[in-house]
Formats: sequence, structure tokens, C-alpha cells
Amino acid sequence: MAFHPPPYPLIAAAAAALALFALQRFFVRLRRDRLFADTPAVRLRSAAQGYVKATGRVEPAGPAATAAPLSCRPCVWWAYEIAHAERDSRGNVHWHTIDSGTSVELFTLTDDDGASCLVGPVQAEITPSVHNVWYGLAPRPPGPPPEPAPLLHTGDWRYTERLLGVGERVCVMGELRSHSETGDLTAAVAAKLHEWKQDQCSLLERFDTDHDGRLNAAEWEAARLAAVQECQTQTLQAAISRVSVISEPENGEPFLIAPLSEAQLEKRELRFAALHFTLGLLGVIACAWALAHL
Amino acid sequence: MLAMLIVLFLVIALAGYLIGIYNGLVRVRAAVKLAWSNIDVLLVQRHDELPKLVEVSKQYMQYEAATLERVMRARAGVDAARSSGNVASLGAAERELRTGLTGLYAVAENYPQLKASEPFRHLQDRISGLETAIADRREVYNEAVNANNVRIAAFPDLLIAQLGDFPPAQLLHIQTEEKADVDLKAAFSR
Repeated sequence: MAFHPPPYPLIAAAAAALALFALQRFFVRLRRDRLFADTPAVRLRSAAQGYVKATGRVEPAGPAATAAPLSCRPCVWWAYEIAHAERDSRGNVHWHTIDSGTSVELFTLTDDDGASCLVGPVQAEITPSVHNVWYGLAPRPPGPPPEPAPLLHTGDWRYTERLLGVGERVCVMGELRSHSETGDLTAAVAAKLHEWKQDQCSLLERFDTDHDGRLNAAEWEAARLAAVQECQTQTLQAAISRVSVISEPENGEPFLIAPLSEAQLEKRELRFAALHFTLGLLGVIACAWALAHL
Repeated sequence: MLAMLIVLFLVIALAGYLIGIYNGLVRVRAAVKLAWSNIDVLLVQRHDELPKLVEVSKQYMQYEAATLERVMRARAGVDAARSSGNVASLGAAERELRTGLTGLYAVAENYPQLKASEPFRHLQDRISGLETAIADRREVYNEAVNANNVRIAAFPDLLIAQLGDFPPAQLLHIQTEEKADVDLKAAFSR
């Protein structure tokens, strides 16, 4: 039987690629750690537009919570995957994804002041509060995952579900955008004058100071000013509806939703940075070892 | 070979780390400026609202010119401090304005017609809302300042900060007069 030496050039190239990838991830994680640490948390009631960090509890935006597609559990966000086991000629099992999906539904974030805003989870990096994997014999699971999870699984179908539960306390980092509906003062003034013109008698009675039966330029200007004043007062009195949404930042900063505290988030990034650094170092050692055997 | 590659890896990692520190310092410095701008926007809004409040009050409080003038003087003081970007003088001017406004609201209690006036109540609510938002954003500003100042004073950022233009930023303090200790002895000796 002929001895085949390991493919050293291939190992060296793969190890070098791994080292470079790990190094790049190390830098990314360090940057994120600093970003999380240096971005102050805002209060939603007075938050300025732009990239923000906010903490609070998540609630459904509508009257009822969303039902998770596989387990039907109430949640504000879900992602699922259904995979089927297929065996090759050697008997090895390969899982093929048959169906998957991620929720795009908005949900509400309410902070400690009671102020709230919407969160649009599209393109968000979400850390779920619940992550279940269970197995079955049918393409769709008959119900929620068994509790407690069995040690051995049976069935060719694998169901994976990740949820963000109702009422979870989360930290959200993303771009806050607000839309106010204050109305157009010019249009309101025009409408007011039009309304007054419909009742010529009242208009003359109010603004025809020289009593000649018609409004001259000065009298018309007085009427216009009165309309402006009245509209301004009405605008002041009207409740300004302001809808704020946290969504994906346009400048490429991370859009993150995690049921973790700010300190836990920073620690997580540091742990990943250390892991990637170690991985990079191991890649370099493997690369050097393979090159030495060339 | 192994040693050379490991040294190369460590050098690249260190260089990237230092670049990351520099960029991080730039970001916290920019965050301080942004937080200041976010307060500035609200100060301008309140600056525009105050004359309306004084104008409405004037119609009922003809004999309280001194109170109204004090508010307008303090308003001008805040605007001057805001325009110059002087954080210390803004704190003092804000204190003066808050004292003036508290005085105005207290005097307004003696004028039931003014208190019942819709425009006055709406302007009072609007200005109170702005005051709350300014206070909230002051917290965010001070947190940004703290992050900046801790970064430039902590190792290893300190080394990079000394090479570049990374000065410490100033916290925005608005001390209210009520915070001062009350001289109980003097109060009871009257």
C-alpha cells in the first residue's frame, strides 16, 4: 500500500486563510467592543436621530403577540429552519434545509421611563432568548419541543426555532429615525381663510373696519394675520404624533438586538475577540508547520 | 520559519490594534461633539419659545416686568454661552434661566387668568418638555464626555491620545441653587 503524504501546500494555504480570516474577525470584534462601550444609552423620550443604544422591554406592536411558526409560542420575533436527514452511500447523514424563515414584523421597545419606539428587525443581528432544536418524523412538528429535551433523538426531520420572547429585557443598537405629523401651517392658513370667505357677513363684521362693505388690502392683511394666529394656536394645541423606529443603520454600524445587559454585550465581544486571536495564532502555527514540510 | 510567521502575525495584530485605538479615540471625540449638537438643537428651540411665553405673560402681568426681564436676560445669557460653545458658562447661564423660569411660574400663580390661558399652558408644557429633553441629553452628553476622558487617560489609549489631538472634554453641570446647603442656624435665628 503506497503512502500518500499529506497535501502540505493545501494545508498551508488553508491555515493561512484561516489565520487571515481570524485576524480580520479579531479586529471587527475589538471595534465592536469599543463601539458598545463608548456609545451612551439614550432615553427614548428625548433621543436624537441617529445611531443609538437603547435598553428596555420588548412587546408586540399589535394587540396580540406573534405566534412562532413551529411551536406556536407567543413571541415578538422568530426564526426557524426545517431540515431533512439524507444518507449518502457511506451511511453518513447530511442535513438539507427544506424550509426556513425569519420574522420581519415590527415590535415595540419600552424603556424604564415608559417611552417606547418601534424596532424593525430586518437585517438585525439578533441574539434569541430561546433556542430550541428538536426532531420528529413529519415535515412539520406536531407541537412545541419536548421538555426536558431527550438525550437521544429520533426522526429524520430536524426543527430549529429561535425566539425573542414577549417582555424580554433587551439592548438594541441601531439607527433611530422619527416621523412627526405636525401639519402644514401655510395650508392650514389657506384653508382657514377659505372657510371664513364662505361666510362673508361674519368676515365683514370682523375685519371691515371702515364699514364700506368690502375688505381693502390692509383689512385683508389683518384677516390673514388673524388666521395665522388662530392656526398657530391650533397647532400648539394639537398633539404631535411622533413615531420612532430603530432599524438598520445606513452607515454600516452593527444593528444588534440582544437580551443581554450592556456589560454582558461588551464581555461577549471581548470573548469573541480573544477566541479569534487564538484561532489566528493557531492558523499561523499550522501554516508554518505545513510550510516546513514542503 | 515558525518564529518568523508568529512574529509577523503579532506585529500585524498589534498594528491593527493600535489603528483600532486611534479610530476609537476619533469616534469618542466625534460622539462628544454630536452629543453637544443634540443639546444645542433643543436650546435653540427653547430660545425660540421663550419670547412667546414672555409675550403671553406680559398681557396679564404688566406689573411683573422685573420677572419677565430676568427670564429674557437669562435667555440671552444661555444663547451667548451656547454660541461660544463654552460648557462652563452654559451651566451657569442655564442655572440662571431655570431660576428665572421658576420665578415666572411662581408669580403666574397669582394671575388666575394667565394660568387659565390656553396659550400660556401650552407654552409652559412645551418649555417643560424641552427642559426634560435637555436634561436627558445632558446625561448622554456627560456619558460621552466620560467615555472620552476615560479613554484618553487609560492605558494604552493614553499613548495614542498624546500623539494626536485628543483633549479632554468638559462635563456639563447645571447646579441648582436648591442644592446648596441650608444654613439652619441662620434660618432659626431670625
